[in-house]
Amino acid sequence: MRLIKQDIIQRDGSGTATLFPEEPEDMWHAYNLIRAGDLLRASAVRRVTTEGNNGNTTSKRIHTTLTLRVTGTDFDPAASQLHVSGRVAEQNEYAPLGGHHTLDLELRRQFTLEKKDGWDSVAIGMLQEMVNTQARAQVWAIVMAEGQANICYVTEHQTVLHQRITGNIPKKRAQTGEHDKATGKFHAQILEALLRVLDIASPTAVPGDLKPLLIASPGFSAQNFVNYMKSYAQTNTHKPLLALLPKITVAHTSTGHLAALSEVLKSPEVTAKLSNTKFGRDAALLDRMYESIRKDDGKAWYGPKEVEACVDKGAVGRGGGILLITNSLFRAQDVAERNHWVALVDKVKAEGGEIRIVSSSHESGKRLEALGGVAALLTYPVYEIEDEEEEGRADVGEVWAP
Amino acid sequence: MSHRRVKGVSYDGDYDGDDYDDDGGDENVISPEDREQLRLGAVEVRRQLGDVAVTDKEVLDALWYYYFDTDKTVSYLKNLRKPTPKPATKKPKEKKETPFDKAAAAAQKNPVGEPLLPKMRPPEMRPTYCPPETGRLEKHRKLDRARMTFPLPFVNPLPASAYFDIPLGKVPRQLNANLIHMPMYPPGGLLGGAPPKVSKLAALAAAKKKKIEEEKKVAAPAAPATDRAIALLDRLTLHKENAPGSSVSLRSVPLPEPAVQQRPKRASSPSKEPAPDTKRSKPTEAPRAPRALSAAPSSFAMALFVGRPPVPDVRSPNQQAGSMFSPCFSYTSELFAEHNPFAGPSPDDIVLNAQKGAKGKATKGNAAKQEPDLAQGVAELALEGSPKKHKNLNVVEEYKKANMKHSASFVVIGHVDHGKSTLMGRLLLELGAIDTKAVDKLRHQSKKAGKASFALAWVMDSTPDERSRGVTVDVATNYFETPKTRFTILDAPGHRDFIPNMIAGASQADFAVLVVDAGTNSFESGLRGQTKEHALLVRSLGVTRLVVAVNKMDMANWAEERFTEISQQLSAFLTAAGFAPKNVSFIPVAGLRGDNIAAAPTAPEAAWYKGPTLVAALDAAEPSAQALEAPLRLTVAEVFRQAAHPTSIAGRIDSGTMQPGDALVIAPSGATATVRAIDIGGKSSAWAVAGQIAVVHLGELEGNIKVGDVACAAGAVVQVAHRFTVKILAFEHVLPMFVDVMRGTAGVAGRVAGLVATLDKASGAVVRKKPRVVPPGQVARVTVVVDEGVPLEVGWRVVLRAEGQSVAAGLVEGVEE
Repeated sequence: MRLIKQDIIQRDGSGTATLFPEEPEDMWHAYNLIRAGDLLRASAVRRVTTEGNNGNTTSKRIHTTLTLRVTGTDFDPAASQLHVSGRVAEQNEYAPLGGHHTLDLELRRQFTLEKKDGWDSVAIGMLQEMVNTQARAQVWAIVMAEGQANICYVTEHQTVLHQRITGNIPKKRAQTGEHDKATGKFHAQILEALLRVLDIASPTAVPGDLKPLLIASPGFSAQNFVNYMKSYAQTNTHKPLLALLPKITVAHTSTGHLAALSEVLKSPEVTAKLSNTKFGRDAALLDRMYESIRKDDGKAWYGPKEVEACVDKGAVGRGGGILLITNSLFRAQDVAERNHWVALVDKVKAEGGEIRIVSSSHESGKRLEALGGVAALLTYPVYEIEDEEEEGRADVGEVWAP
Repeated sequence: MSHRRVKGVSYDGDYDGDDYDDDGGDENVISPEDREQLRLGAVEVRRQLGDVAVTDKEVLDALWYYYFDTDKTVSYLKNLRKPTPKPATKKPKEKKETPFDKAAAAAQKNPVGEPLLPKMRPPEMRPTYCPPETGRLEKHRKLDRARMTFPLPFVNPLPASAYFDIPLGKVPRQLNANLIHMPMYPPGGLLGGAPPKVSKLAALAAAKKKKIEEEKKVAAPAAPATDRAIALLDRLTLHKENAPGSSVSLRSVPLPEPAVQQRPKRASSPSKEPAPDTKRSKPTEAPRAPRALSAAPSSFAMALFVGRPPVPDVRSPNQQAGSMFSPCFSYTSELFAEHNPFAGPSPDDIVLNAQKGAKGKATKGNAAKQEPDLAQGVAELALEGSPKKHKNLNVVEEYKKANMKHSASFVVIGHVDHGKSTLMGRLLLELGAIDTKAVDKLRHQSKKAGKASFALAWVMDSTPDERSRGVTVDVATNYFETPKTRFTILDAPGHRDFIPNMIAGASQADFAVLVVDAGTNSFESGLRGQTKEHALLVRSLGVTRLVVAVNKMDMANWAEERFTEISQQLSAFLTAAGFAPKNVSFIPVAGLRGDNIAAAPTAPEAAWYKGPTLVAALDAAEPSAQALEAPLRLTVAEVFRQAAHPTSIAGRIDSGTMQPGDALVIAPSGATATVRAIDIGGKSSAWAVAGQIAVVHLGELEGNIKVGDVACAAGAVVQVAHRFTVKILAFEHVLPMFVDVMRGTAGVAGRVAGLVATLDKASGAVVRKKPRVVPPGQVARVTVVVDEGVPLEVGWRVVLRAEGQSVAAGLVEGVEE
C-alpha cells in the first residue's frame, strides 16, 4: 500500500488519506481500516439505465468516481476482494445523492478515505503499519496428516487457506495394497492442487519469484509427500517444481489441522528461515502468556474485564507491560465498543506499555480471540481480581468473530 | 446380425466382414495361459463338486463360459445335476452374449416347460429369431439351432377363446391380473444402481403403523396356545380365500418338484434378495414359488425382468388368461386378505413395513419381554418361508442361546520401542494364529532390510512406512483364540505423534495391555513419556482393567528385583491414575524370545517367577456387561473396499445389535445403507452384538462414510453436536483454547469456549464458578465448540488434545445441536 497524500491533523484526527493498494494483502488492511460511517472516494463501475424517447431503455456500464458514505464492508479472504457498500454522498451525473452503491476496491486504483469520527490512534497506527513497505515475509504452507491437507498462504498479516484436501485412506489390512494406492492418489491430489494454487507452471509466472514452501505434519506424512514431489518432479522433469524443491522446509506439528500452523511458525526450523516476522513474534508472546498462566505467577491475564482491571491498576505499563489485542475488536460494528478499545490502547500507550495488535486472520490471533480477544502481560503480579458481579463475565466464546 | 449387416453394408461395405471375423478368430483360439487356467480351474471345480457326476467336457465348457469363475461353475454344475439330469448341456461359448441370447438360453433350460409350449402356441404363431451368424458361431455349429430360436418380444400366444368371458370394460376383479415383479437380483436402477430409498417420512409412517399393529396384538387377551391356533387358522382361511382368485389361484396348482429346483440360484443366494418383507413372511406366502408362466416369456421380457427361468404351467386356459403377466408383475396378490386389491396394504406399505422390520429390533425386543409367546409367534411368522435376506432374528435371544465363548478386545499400549508389536507378533505365533512359514518369510525379509529383530513386529506392522522406520503408525487389528476366549488385538502405536490413532484403538477395547521395557533407563524414560500418557488416556476412555507386561526381561537377566521395582513404581502411579489395584496385574515376559507368553519361562534365572503367563492373565478377563437393548451404535474405525463388497466398515459396536438386512443411518453425514453381511473375527456371522468388533459389508449406500462416523439403527439416530458440555479431568492447564476433540475414532478441530466451573473431585460439587484456568489434576465442567458436527450422546467419552499433548479427558454431560 502506498500513501499518496494525507492531510490528517494529529490534534483532532480530521482529514483524509489517499491510498494506493498494490498487492492483494492491502485489501485486508483496507478492510481493517474502512468502517461504517466513513467517507470513501474511489473509482466504481455503475450501471446506468437511460430511457429513449420511444420508451426503450438502454443500460450501460460506466466507470466513474463515487464518494460513498460507507454502510458496510465485506471481505473475501481467499480472493482478497473487498466489497464496500454505501450511499452516494456526492452526486454526479450517474449517481443521485443517497443512491445505494456497492463497489469493489481495485488493485492499483487509488482511494481516498475520511474517517467519520476522525483518525484515532489505532487507525493511524494501522495506516503506518500498512504503508511500511519493508520486505515482508510471505510463505506457502501445507499442514497435513494422513488423509487431510490444508494449503495456505501466510503473510505478515494473514493466513489465507487456499485449499483443503481430504482423502479417505484405508487403514492397513493384510494383503491389500489399498493403503498405498490411496496414499499415492492422495499425494497426487495435493500436488495437483498445490501446482494450481502456486501457479508456478504457468507462462506468466516469474521464475525468480518463488516463495518458500513449508510442509508440516505429524509423523512422516510431510516427508513422504516431499519424497513424492521429488520423484514426480524428476520423472516428469517438471522444471518449475524442481526449482521449488530447494525452497521446501519440512516441519513437525502435532495435528494436521490448520490450527497447528502456529506451532510451525514458532518452531526452530521455521524461525531460522523466517526470522523476526510479526506472526512469529505474536505467537511467541502468546506462548509466554500461556506459560505465565500455567505457572500461575499472576503476571498474565486474559479476558476483557480482567485486562481492563489490570490496566486500571497500572500493571500494563513501562518496563515489560504488553497488551495483546486482536484487530477484530476494532472492526466492531458498535462505535462505542470500538472507542472503548481505542481508549484502552491509548491508556496503555500513555503508561508506556507495548501494544501488539494481533491479526485475527492468523492462528495466533484466533487463539487470542478464543481468550476473549484481549490479554495482557503485566509488569508486576496481580493475584486477585475481584469479581464485582459473579455472573458478569460473558462466556468468552461469545466474542468469537469470523 | 442380419439387420445389422444390412445397415453396415449401406454405410461401408467392408464393415461387417472385418469386424466380426476378427472377433471370431480371437475368441476361438484358447491361449496357453487360458488353457492352464482352465486346467487349474477344472481341478478346483472337481474338488468342490465332490461326488457330483459331471463329464470333463461339461466342466471345461462351464469354466470357459463363466470365464474361470469356479464358484459360479460349481453352482452351475450342481444345478445341472440336481434336477432331472439333462443331457450334457452345451453351453454356448460366446462371451459376447447379448441379453437376448442369455434370455433365450435361460428359456431353453426349462425342461418341463418346453413340451408345453407347442400346445399353447401353434408353431406358425411363433416367429423365430436367429441370433447373429458370426464367425465364431459358425465354429459352434454343434449348437442346436432349435435352441437358439425363441419368440420375439410379446406375441400373444393365446387363442382368442381365452378371452371369451372377459368383457371389454369393467373386468371382474377375479379376472384382474396382479402384476408381480420378482427380481432375481436386488432391484436396481437402469444402470444397476441402488433401489430407490424410502423417504424418512414414509418410514416413519410405516413405523407407526406397525407399532399400532403390535399394540393390537399385545392387547389381544387370547391365551397363547389358542393364539397360535387362530394364527394357523388364519393362514388356512387366507389360503382358501386366495385360492379361487384369478392370478392367485395359481397357487392352488400343485407344482412339480423340479420346478422349484429349477431356481437353485435363488435358493442358494438368498443374500441377493432385496429388502426384507415381514408381510411376505406370512404363511400364505408359502406357495409363492410356483407362480407360473402361461407361456415362455418373450426374450425382451426376459431381458427386462432379469432372467427368472419360467415355471411350467398346467392350468386351464382361463386361469392362464388371468395370469399372463404374473411372473413378471404378480406382486401383491398373495398379500391380500381379500380380493379387493385396496383392502390390504399397498405395495409401498409392504416395503415400508419390511424396512421397518429391518430396524425394528428394539421394538421386537420389547415385545419379547412383554409376551414371550407372541414373540415366538412373531418369530415363527418371520422365519417361515421367508426367502428374504432379513431373517428378523431376535439377536439378543440368539446371543444368549449361542452361549458363545467369551470375546474380548484389548489394546496394546506403551512407550515407543518398548516392544508392543513384537510381543503381539510372538503371541500370535505361539498361539498358532499365524503360521511359522509366514514368520520365516518375514524373518527373511527383515534380515534383508537389516532389521532382523523386527521380524515379529512386522506381523503387525504391514505398511512399507512402518517397516522401513520400525515404528507402528496405525492400529493393527488381529485375532486369536484361547480355549476360553476369542481375542481381538488392537496394537496401538507408541510414538507420541500417533496418539490420535492410539485413542482410536483404545476406544474399541475392553481392557488394555500396557507394555513396559524392563531395561534400565528405558522404563524410566517411558514413564515420563507415553507409558504414563497412554495409561492415563485408556483410563479416561473407560478402560478399567490393565495387564502390565514387563517386557525384555531377558535383557534384564530376569532379575526379580527389577521386576518388583517396576511393579511397585507403576502400581503407585496407576492407583493414582484411578486403576483399582485388583484390576492391575504384572507379568514379566520376553517378547523377542517368547518367554512366559503361552508357556512359563525356561530360563533358569526366571525360576523365581511362579505367577501366570501372559495368556493366562489375558484369559482372566471377565466379560463386561453390554448394552444389548439400546439402539445400535457402531463407531466406524475404518472404511475400505473388499472384493465383492463395494463398501465395508469396521468398528466396535458400542451398543445394540445388528443383523444382515438392517437399515443403517450414518451420523453425522446422514448417509443411509443396509447391512449386507457381517464378519466377526474374520468369520461371517448372522448377527453382531454390542462389545464385538465387527466388519460390516454395506449395500445400497447413499452418501459418504468416513472414519469416526457413527452407524446407527435407522429411526434411532445419534445426535450431532456442535457444542457440548463436558466434565473433564485436566491433564494440563486448560483455558479457553483450541483443541482437537477426540471422540472414539474421530478427531475434530474445536475449542474450549468457556470454563463453567471447577468441581470437587469426589462429590462433583461446584468449587468455583468461571475459573480463569483449570490446573492439571482438577475436575471441571467446560463447554466445547466444534467446527464440524460430531455425533455425541450424553455419557460418551472425549479426549481434548492441544499441541500434541492430551490436555484433558472427560464425560459428555450435555449436547447442543
